[in-house]
Amino acid sequence: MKLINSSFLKKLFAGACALIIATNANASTSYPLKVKAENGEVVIKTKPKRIVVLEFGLLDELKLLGVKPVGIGTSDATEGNDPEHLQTFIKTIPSVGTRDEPSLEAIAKLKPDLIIGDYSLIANLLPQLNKIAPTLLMNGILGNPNEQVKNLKTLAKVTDTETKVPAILKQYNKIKAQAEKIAAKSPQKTILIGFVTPSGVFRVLTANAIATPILNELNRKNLITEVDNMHRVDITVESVINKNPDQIILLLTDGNKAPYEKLASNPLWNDVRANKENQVYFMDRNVWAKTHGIEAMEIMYKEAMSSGMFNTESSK
Amino acid sequence: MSWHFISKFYLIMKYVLLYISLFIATIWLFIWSLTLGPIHIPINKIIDLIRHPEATLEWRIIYETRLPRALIGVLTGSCLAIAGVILQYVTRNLMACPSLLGINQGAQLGILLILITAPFTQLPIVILYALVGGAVAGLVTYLLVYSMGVSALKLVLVGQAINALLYAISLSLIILFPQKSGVILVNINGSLAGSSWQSFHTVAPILFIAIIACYVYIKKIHILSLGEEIATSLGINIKWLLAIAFIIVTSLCSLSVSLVGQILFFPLIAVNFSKIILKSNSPFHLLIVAMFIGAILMTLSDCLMRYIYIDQEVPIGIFMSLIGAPVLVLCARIKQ
Amino acid sequence: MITNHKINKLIILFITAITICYTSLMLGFTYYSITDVIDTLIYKQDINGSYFAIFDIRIPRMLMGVLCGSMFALSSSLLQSVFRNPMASSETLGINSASALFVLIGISLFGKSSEYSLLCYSLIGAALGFTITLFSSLDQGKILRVRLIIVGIAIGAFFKSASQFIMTFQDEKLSSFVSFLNGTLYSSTIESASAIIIPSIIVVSITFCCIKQIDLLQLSDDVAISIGFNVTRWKIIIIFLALLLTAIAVSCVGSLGFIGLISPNIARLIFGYSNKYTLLASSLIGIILTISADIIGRIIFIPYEIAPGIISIIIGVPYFLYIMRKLRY
Repeated sequence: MKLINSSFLKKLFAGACALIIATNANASTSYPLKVKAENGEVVIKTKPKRIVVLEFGLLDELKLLGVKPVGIGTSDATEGNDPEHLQTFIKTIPSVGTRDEPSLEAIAKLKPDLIIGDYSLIANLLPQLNKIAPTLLMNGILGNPNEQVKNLKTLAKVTDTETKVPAILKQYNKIKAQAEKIAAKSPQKTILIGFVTPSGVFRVLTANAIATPILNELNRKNLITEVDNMHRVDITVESVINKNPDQIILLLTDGNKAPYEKLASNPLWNDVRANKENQVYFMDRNVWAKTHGIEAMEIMYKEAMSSGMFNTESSK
Repeated sequence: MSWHFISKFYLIMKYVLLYISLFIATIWLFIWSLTLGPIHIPINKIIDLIRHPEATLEWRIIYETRLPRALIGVLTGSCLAIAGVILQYVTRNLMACPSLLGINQGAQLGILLILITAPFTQLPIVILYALVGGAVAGLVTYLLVYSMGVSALKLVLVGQAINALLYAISLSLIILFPQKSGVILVNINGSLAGSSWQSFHTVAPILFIAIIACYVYIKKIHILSLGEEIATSLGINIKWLLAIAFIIVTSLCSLSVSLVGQILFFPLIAVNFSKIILKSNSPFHLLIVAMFIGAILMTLSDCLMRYIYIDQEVPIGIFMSLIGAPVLVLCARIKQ
Repeated sequence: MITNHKINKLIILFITAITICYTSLMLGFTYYSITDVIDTLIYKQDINGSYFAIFDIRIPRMLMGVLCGSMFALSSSLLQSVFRNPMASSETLGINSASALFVLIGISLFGKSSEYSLLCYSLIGAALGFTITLFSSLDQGKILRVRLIIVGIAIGAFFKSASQFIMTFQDEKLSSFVSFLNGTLYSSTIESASAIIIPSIIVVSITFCCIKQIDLLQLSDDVAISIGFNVTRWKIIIIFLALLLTAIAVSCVGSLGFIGLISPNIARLIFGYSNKYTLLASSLIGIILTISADIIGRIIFIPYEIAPGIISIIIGVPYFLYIMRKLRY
């Protein structure tokens, strides 16, 4: 008797909470809703229940908002695994093909009421996608941290989950502030960030890449600045010596260190100052170079903090 | 008598002059390639370092990366060129080219296969796969052409078809095995960036043996190119000779591909250039000139790419076929 | 009698083409049975999402495949008759790669404003590629048939490398160009299909009106001139038609190389040398090959796709080698 009572009370309480949240939410989001996106103003008639999302950063943000899409675009043939923090989430959702050439039939089959995609990847599919469902194009994979926050807010508004945003942003800002605080203590340093191809070539992310603004906030300056439109270039070890970065971040594909060992077998690698001073750090390529959602950025900050790249002692 | 002597002297002088100028050009390019890179090291500094080697950073940069790169450039350039010479003699065909016969693409596919099944395998095994891939592709192409009756057009067309087929298979493999990170960005476009002493040491001995074999057999191969009857009457075992020539050509090409990747048209350009410069039919001299020209072409294109894009690595394979196609067209015109 | 026989063959080809096209409406991410497709097409019923899948994806793709497949085949047949060379085609003369390169340059410089602007870039490229090939293989006013093809292949490789060269300097933005260079029907929409349907039908019908002249081109030049036929003028007209056909097709689907080369050869195997039948037959064969390559490419690895250009190479090369065996030179 008592047991039932307590559970009843709990339910009642939860219901009341939900009601408050719901009314709150209703106050901010009312459908039909007009949303401004990269493809102009999009009208969403009712609260979307079946969402197809075609980019990892946007998927990341939906996951934080507690919205489970019905279909997703995944990595293409040459990219390796999907980002780790999303993998278990991705496994439970059917794939509709790659992020830049999804199978339109597969999307249509899922009968989505909203499609969320990346402007730089699928802008040319917009007319087709619009026939399936209202489509929101955002600046996902190439969006800087501010744009990611903006995306999160837009997605929250669209999916009627705005109440969750403050908590997410609080958590994000907390980690970010924490990282920045630690970073501020160590002096400003120059950096190279990139990954090694199987043939042993160092492929570095340029100042245009999304990792750069994050590193900037962490008091780290990307040295590859002279290219205008590319996100990565190949450089030799000699070029690394010439750039002479204080620190190097090596992004590992699926945690595999073998390509790095190939690079390190180059005798000149020992002449790289960052290597001599033990300032080479390993991080996850799938997070740093493939997605830039809020959670991905949290992981980046955490990885940067735990890597020890801000320890002032070890730089001797 | 004296007239005969003078003309012979003139001929010798001609060759001597030719070789000296080719040699100087090669050395000059070689040294230029040593000076090129993100860290500028002027020539007099290099000469200083050669005279008095000391363990400075400059010395290590030159010794550890630029020197193997330059050596591999020279080596693969000359190997591809002489492979072209041998192939042209054997097939009696001016358009024969290992890269057009599918040998190079086959070697590439072999490398791709081993990288799919076991990413980051040791270099010797990768090279073995390249050899097998190149040999199988070359054999298939040539047998096909042979069964149809050999002609220049057929050689080019069948080679091109096999090339396209192997390329399509490689692409499908990449699509079908997306999880294998080893497949990602195989050295598809031809580049000297991955050069190291290790790869040089592994491959160079076999290449040297192949080059020596070329010089040993070039006379016989040339006789064979004049006609099978003549060859048999001179006591040459044709089947044996063909097998040897095939082994030489595939090993030269496949090993070069495993070092620098796919470079379309290269042998054809080198051989045709050499013929224009040499203006004689002596197979022995053609072989030497082709070696020089191959080395010069390869080093020159690598130097140019490094000179234009100082801080980046740009694949020379694409660049080679950019300059290669016009040269090929020109050669086809001049020969008439 | 013989004519009847040929007409029967033509009818069989036609029926095959229709069947393949119909099959392409049935197969894809979801399988729809024969009756499902009929219900959707005629009664506009929506069976398990069939309405969208068929009307917005499969029909545009099929339409594009039919148009471009037949145009590639036709343009190659025209080139083969003009040069009297069974190995001539838009691919082996370097035309495909040249127009693909120009489409690529056009889009990256000026953006994709309309289907017709792409068509312009593509036509400029086609004309340029062809002119270079032609002049490079001219020798004292004559075209050597062997050299034409060798030079054409070299020129084609040149333009292909140039495209790759451009692509190494552009990353994320142009990722969809990889499949364009290989030839794909992925990006076909009902809008893009309807944009080219009128120009392509016009060009194709003009081509069929010229059958008589194409036949006359088969005669030796002396004979043709003696019956008062202006060889040079008609050669130029026919070549221009071929370039136009290729340019339209490349601007839509990229380079589907082998289909153009093979189709006329297969047609000639079946129908002999009378252009009356071979032209029609080769365009039907082009359609059959393109659509089946597309079907295979999209059902082999659902929901991912393999570009039909790649599939067409894999199925086309063995047959191409088989045809080569019968060549005399």
